[in-house]
Amino acid sequence: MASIIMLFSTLISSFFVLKIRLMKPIMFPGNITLIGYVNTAILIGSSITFFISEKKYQTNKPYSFDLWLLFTIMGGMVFLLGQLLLWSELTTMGIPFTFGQLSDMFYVISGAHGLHILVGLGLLIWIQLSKHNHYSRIHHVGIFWHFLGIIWTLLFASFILL
Amino acid sequence: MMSTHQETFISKYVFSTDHKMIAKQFMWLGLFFLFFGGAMAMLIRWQLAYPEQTVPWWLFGFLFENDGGIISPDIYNQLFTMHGTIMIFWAITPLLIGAFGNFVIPLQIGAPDMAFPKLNMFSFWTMLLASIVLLSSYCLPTGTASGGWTSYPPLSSPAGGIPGLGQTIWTLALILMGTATMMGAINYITTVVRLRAPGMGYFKMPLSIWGFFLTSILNAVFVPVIAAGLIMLLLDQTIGTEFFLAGRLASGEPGDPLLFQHVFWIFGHPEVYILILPVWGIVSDLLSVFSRKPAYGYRVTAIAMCTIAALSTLVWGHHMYTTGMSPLLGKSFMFLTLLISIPSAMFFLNWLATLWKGSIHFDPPMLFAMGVIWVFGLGGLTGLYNATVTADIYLHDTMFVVGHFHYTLAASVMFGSFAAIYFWFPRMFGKILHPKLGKIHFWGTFITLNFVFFNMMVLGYAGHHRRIYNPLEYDFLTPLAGMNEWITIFAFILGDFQLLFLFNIIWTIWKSKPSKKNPWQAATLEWTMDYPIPHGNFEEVPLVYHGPHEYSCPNIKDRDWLGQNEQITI
Repeated sequence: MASIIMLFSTLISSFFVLKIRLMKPIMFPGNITLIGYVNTAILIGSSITFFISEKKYQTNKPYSFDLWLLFTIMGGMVFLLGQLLLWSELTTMGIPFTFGQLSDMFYVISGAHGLHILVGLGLLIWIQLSKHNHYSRIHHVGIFWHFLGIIWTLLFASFILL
Repeated sequence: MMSTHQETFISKYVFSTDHKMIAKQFMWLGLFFLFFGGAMAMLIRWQLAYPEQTVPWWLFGFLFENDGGIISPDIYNQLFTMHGTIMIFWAITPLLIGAFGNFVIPLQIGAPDMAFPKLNMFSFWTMLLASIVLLSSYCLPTGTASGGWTSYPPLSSPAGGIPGLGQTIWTLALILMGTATMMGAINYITTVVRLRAPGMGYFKMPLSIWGFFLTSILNAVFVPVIAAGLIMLLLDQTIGTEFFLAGRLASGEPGDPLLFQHVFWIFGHPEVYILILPVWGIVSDLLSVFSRKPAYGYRVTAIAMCTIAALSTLVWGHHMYTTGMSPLLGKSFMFLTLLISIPSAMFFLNWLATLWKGSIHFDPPMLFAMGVIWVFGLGGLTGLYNATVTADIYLHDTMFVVGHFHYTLAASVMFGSFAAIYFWFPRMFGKILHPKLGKIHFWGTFITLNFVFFNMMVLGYAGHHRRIYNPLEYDFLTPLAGMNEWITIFAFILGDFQLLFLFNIIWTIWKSKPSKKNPWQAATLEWTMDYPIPHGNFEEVPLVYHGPHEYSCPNIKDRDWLGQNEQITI
């Protein structure tokens, strides 16, 4: 039961993240865009590894479940580090936080998303370490994780592509 | 379902996970802030009737000694800002949604507790933290927030705004409070969706539950909107972003204070329905109980409430007619706003039809429920003037608006909360509030309240602006000074009757004898167990066979009602 909360925080955070995006998109320089693409790919990849790990759990293979879950967690961590790299690149290029409204918007949105990723990572580590996993718990954490991936893809697309 | 675990004092009264104890904690918090905000209202009234005269001792005059005993303009701004903030977010929300949402939802749907009891506890403690943060702003040398309860950015942002940290702390407290609200809302939704007793279909739920359920959905969807806006405002105030900085639109940078108004009212308009929906539900139920008749048009009322909840999300623009929005947009918002009057009229007529030919028992809860019909009817009708663009451009920001939203929000929601307190007090504390005192409290409040708020609308129609510090400074308002004085006198009497109510609560808890198990002869599930209600509520899971309003049943001997869990065919 405790995991149903994830479903609802999903709804809430979706609204939260989308709502902040009230501003127009910005033009990013090339290498920033590249970092962004790589990051997005990593996050989508971590969603896929989670999907595989969930399948392994259902077919009762605890060892490979653990392994694929570890890949997922690593993917999430690399994504966060990549976001930090992106921020520092932006700053060194002369666009720090509080430079202007549009770039600030990017900082705030990616920051809010990053915090949610951090929560998601905490949940993933929790099910990695916990010995009494229930399928519904894994399933709901999974929904949250996939959801964060989808949200990021949409945000990234609206920042870069539009 | 009976729990057997040992409870220490701390786990029972302080860090309790029992929804009934958390409800009581919310109730005391809400009542504290209700009186706190009420006292500020009295000071506002003093300033409007007797501008710049020495505040008497019985209005805490000693607090103003630094300003020579009078309310200075800065203090006046802080007073009406904090009166609005506290009454809406710290008095009504905990009292109605926090206390009665918590108390009534699991009991009426036959659940052992909330879906997430620990989250429930955490919600209360976050709320308490928010309260402490808010009150701490009074200790600042520059005083607390003073930009109005809406906190529009030119006033609330550092550039050209109000000096001092008051506004920042206000924003922070509101973010915390929003977090607590969201936690509560998630909990309520999950509880209603997952934990209904067997047989309790959605259309067998009491209408109070419908009210709380819809409120929680609106809360879960729209509080994050204001949270996002407030986070941006907080960044503006502290780190130096310029999201809402005025005057940059011309220079090409998109920082825009109007954006905050949009974000605020996208949340703000659903917020007024968040506050009023539980009241509609409670009133619908109480009218049925005390008329000894099934609620007329139960399904229509429930569906009308859903319709209003949906429409309320589309009408925020009617708060912003005077911001220079395009006439086409204004017309669309006007149309959508006026559309709300259709479902409102539907359940309003259902209320009247419930009363029609019923055998009405004039107990205090019923009096307050019927009071809601009057004050909400009047408030709703004056809403039509405000919703119409042409009338609103004249009436906007006058005392007419103040009168209108005090009728709909303050009076209706206050009466709804009082009705709920009088009605469920026997379930919360095992004792009935003194009925005579309750009736005096009702008539005293009802009469004085109408004098206060109706005259405010007259003042507004005469052109009295709502945020004037000293009305006597304007020639065209001097003839109205007598009226202001009149309102103030009645406001003081209104306040005194609330002290009577407080006395009634304390006296009943200390001295009164335990009441019967079901003193109102109500049919819903919360009256089926003995007092005190144990941790876990029901000894066995109740099975529900009937709707919530089975009164005036002809086939039952020695009583006229049928409980929801009683298996007798009618």
